[in-house]
Amino acid sequence: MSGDSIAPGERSLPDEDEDEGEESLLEVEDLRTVFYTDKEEIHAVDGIDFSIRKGETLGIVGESGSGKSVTARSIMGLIKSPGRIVGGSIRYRGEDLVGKSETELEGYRGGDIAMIFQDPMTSLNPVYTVGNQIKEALDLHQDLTGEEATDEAARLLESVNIPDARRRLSEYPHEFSGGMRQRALIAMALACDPDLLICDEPTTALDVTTQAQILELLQEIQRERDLAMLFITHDIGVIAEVADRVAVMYAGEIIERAAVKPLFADPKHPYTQGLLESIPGRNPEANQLHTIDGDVPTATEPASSCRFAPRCPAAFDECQKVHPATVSVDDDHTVSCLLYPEADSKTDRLAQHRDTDEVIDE
Amino acid sequence: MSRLGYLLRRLLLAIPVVVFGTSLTFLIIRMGPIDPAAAIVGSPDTPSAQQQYERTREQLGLTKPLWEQYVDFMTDLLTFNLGQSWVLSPGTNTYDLILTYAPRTLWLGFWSILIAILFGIPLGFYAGLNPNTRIDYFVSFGGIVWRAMPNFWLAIILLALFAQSQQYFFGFDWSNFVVQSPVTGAYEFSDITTRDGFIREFKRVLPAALVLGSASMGNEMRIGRTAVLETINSNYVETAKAKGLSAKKIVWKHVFRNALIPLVPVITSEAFLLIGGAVLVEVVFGINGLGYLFFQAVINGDLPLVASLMYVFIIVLVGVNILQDLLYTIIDPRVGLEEGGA
Repeated sequence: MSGDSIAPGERSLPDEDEDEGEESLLEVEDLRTVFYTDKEEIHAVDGIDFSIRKGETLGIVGESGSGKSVTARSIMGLIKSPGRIVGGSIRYRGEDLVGKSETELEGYRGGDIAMIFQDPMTSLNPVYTVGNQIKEALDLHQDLTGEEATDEAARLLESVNIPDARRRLSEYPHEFSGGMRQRALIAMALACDPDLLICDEPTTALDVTTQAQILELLQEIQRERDLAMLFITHDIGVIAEVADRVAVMYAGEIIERAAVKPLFADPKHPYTQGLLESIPGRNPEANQLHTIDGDVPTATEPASSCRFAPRCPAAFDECQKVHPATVSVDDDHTVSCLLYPEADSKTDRLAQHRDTDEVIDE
Repeated sequence: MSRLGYLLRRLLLAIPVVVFGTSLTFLIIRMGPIDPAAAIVGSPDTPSAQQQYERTREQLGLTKPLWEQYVDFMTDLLTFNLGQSWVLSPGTNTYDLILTYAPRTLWLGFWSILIAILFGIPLGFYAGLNPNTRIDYFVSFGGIVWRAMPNFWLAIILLALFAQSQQYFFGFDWSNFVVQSPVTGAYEFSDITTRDGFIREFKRVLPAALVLGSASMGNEMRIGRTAVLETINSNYVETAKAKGLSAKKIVWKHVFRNALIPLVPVITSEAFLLIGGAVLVEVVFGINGLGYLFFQAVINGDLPLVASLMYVFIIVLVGVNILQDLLYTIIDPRVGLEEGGA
């Protein structure tokens, strides 16, 4: 967190910057998803921006309730009533998916953007064979039927390391173990031949050994197919393994974003710092594991303060009054915290954050 | 284990159930207050009547030791030697009696189950697919009301409505609608294969079938609705959606088959209800079916007939149970054919 990482005037808005580089496959801008219940409205996703380039993995990390899964479902158009996307845009290859009809969205699901879910035990239909469910996707997205589809399905199962694939095709999900089911679900997603794969905590329900195998498999598949991946997890250790860039979510907002190495080497936001300190083994000399006290608050109204302030060790009075804007602190590294930009005096910083909710350039 | 092996195993396991049920029947009718000899010759008041009474007892084999009677009773039934009626229609084979009465009950039962399935399940599924809409409320509320109406009351109301349809439905004459048919009375199957005969008998069975199927229809609606709602919110439906399947395909392929699973026992348990409920409905609508025959046999103390009918009922129930388990294995692959799963 040294001041010399700030190079004023060097950076423009992140969006423009990304346009200069490789083409963005998915661009999410100011996405807001709200759930309307009888008692209150819950701002599950509250104005987040990110983009994913071809062949790249963006990791989204955050605690339970920070809005990670809602983000994934918003992209897929799977938000159910009483939830609704109330603002922002989700541009896939330049097309805005927000506001598209259900039928139009069906055209994007699977073939363009596929998704792997958290719970492999219940994500396969129990009354159809695994082969049937994979072939369904092959028929839909690759126009394969009959013997051809069976061959391709067996090949896909083999490619996700399921032995004896041809026999396995005619088995039902309950005859598969948890890890096998997640492999089958990955095969099913691949059968859709997507360009972007959203993985919503794909390893959370699995034991550690299986977890490692699935992660390895996903990385291998990504390399082979040049897939873009949005990887959602609460496990920051997993993020270090799979992601190229990381977005840290807290209470519906992205509070820090950087490439994976700088984020782990030099986390800016006190929350990210806390998360990293709570990884076992990172502080071998400490005799107790560091934790962040408290829970993620439920955002019931638009933010007017820093939502992390009540749990923040570095909080000061103004954190309760000013909503932090996004600050560029380094090349492709932004943070939303009143402590930045560090070079400026506290008064200047507060003035900047108050004046703008846009990115503060340095 | 193959499906055939599973079936054979279930059939084998059914034998002790049938034996136990039949033994219980013997116990109940022999230990009960019915005196079959008295039922035939009247109470033995005078010495001559007493003599005749004793003679009848001997003829009927009631003087033999009880265990011998039990062995005879069981061997006869298990070898389908159902004997003759004693009181209702003395000397007639119970076979013939059952064959005369059974088709009417089967006709009634068939339509009660079918009408309930054809209306109850689609309405329930529709409500489940459109939860918290006006139609959903209508169906759910209607299902509860329809389910709650007692059969004996509904039977009389429907009988009155159909018999005097001109008065209640602005001159619509149900009895003479398409083909002339009486509202009550036993069914006539001699010309059932002709168009007019079929329509006539369908018109006649309709009110009774509505009554008999009412409870099941309400059940199927409510359970169908819940099952669809539960399935639609399941993870695998979300997976199917994420795959890009159309809403139509998801509903027909992924939702309905799973929603049918909890409906299987509801449908098969109707067969049980029909046997019990048929007595009431058959009496109100004047259909001389098995229910009516059973009721008459019991109040007249016609023991062979009661025993035979009980035996038939037991076999039907056990058979329906096996059918239910077979249906399960067909609809839900998780229901195993193996020892542990069965």
